[in-house]
Amino acid sequence: MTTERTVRVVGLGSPHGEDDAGWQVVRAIAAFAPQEWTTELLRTPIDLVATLSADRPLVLVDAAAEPLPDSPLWRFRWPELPTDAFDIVSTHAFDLRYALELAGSLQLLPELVLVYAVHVGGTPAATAETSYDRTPSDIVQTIARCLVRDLRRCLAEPASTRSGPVPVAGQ
Amino acid sequence: MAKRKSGKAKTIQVRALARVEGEGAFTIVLQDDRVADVKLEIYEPPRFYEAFMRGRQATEAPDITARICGICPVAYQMSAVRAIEKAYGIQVPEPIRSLRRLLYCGEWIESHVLHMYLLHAPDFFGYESAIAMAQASAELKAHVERGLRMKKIGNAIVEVVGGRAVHPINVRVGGFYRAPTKDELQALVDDLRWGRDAAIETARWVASLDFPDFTDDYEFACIRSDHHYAILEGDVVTNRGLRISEDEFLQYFREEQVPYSHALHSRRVLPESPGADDRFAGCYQVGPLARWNLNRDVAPDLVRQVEQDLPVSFPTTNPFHSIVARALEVLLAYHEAIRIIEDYEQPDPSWVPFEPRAGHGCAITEAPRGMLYHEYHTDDAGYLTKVTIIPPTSQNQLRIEKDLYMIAPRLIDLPQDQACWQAEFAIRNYDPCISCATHFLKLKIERLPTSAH
Repeated sequence: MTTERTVRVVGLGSPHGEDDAGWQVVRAIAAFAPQEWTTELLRTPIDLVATLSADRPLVLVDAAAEPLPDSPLWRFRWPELPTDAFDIVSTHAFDLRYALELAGSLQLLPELVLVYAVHVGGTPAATAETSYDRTPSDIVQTIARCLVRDLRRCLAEPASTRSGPVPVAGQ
Repeated sequence: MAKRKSGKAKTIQVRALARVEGEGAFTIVLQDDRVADVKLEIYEPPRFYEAFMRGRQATEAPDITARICGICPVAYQMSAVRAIEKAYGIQVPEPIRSLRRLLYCGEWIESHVLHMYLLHAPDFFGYESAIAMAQASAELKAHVERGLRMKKIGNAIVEVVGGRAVHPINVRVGGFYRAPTKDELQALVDDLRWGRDAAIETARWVASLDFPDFTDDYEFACIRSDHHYAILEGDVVTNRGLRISEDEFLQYFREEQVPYSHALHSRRVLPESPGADDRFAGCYQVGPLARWNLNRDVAPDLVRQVEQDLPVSFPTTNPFHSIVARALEVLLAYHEAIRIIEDYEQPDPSWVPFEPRAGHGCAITEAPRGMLYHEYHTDDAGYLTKVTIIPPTSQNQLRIEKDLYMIAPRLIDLPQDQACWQAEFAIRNYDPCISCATHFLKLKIERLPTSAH
């Protein structure tokens, strides 16, 4: 069984505009996550590859531009990623999918790779977590807590973590 | 799919070039087995940096222009600070200049290693991507792993000196906001020594590749110092005897608009107007091959010794050898980084104070892809009144088109996918950064009906 202390949580993005959604959520997670979890922020997915180790579950948090219905936060288990959701412009087309495929071909990917997509852009899913009377900071905190709660469940029973998109918040 | 509408004519088109930075396309028109036209079309929208920077403080230029490119932001920062320092009459002491050279070495390592291992090497082995290459054999997988580790070390240099690995924030006119401590830099040395050995292995590996047979009478251009391998400053030189100061650049090189591209084309100003049929007159090449061909005599002994034992001879006019020049520059960058760190004394203060003033300054530094020209005019209060930026990919565009023009006859009888790949392979010799040139790329080959004449 996977223990909490092996988890590596990585926020992908930049400080610019909506691209900072993954960073904001991971910063919030860092404030209350178990001490054994490591959190970090990365800008370019390709730089993730050189730092991967197959023995640590990897959790990636990224902004997703493609509208995702019903929930501001969705979970995907690699290798199932929606084609368009992470289609954010990246240098030399080295996007998240490319980086993870390359890491896979180098046998660097852990058995459990979860990608949490924070919906940005377009019409946000209207849920209790993101109702318009809440501040962005409140929303980030809520999404971070939803993510950690869901992640704990996945780590406790990784084999049962089904693939495919799973709405995490807004249920 | 390319098809011959008659026995004598066809069009080849690639609508989106892969493994380059930015968005673009190219078209080759063949008629009667003759190349009728070649166009490198850059359709990524222009970004108007030079226009919207007018009215901003000159001190903002390093951070604003760095956003032109995610791969070579250091180059933009370095050309900008040097040009503004000339406009303001600021003399920057040697310790700060050395720190800038160290930062630039980090960017050369990041950019060159990424291009060699993940973008260009797959071409030489016939794979569509580094992923396919890494899956092909344990040996190729080990190469890719080595490349990723080498690149990471370049990132680390930029992070320590520049404040963060992408779009560094520590560069300012006059120096740095904060100079790293000796201990912070010393912590990089073990990795740099590993990287230096890995760079030697890389040079030997890429020099053993099977290179397409291709050559032309190239004019290579770069900056040069007679004392060391120029990165941050030097005269502009070419292999045809030109040697001018950077202040004279626009007298000898000019930009022009073409109707099919959002990027300006550069060419050498020639003593006589070229004939109407010589559309490539004045084309020239910048970048690692130009630099290594022209400056290898002042490269560190270690790098020259490694080059001497390679099966590729320099100077070379085969553009496919650019990957070897790139590898040698990576070795040079690791070697220089170690030297700079070993000699490092933390500058205090970390920047030179100055007062804004009306002035004018231009500067050329060597971005990974070649010469990057910045020119700024300021008013009394230090606001920018005019800005000119000429990135290396703009300078290489006409030369890329000529390479395509020359390679096109070899593509006529190839299936479309093979023709497209061969053409893209040739373009990737230049590691074009289209985002820079507009401030991505697509192949189109048109096969016209046989001409009436």
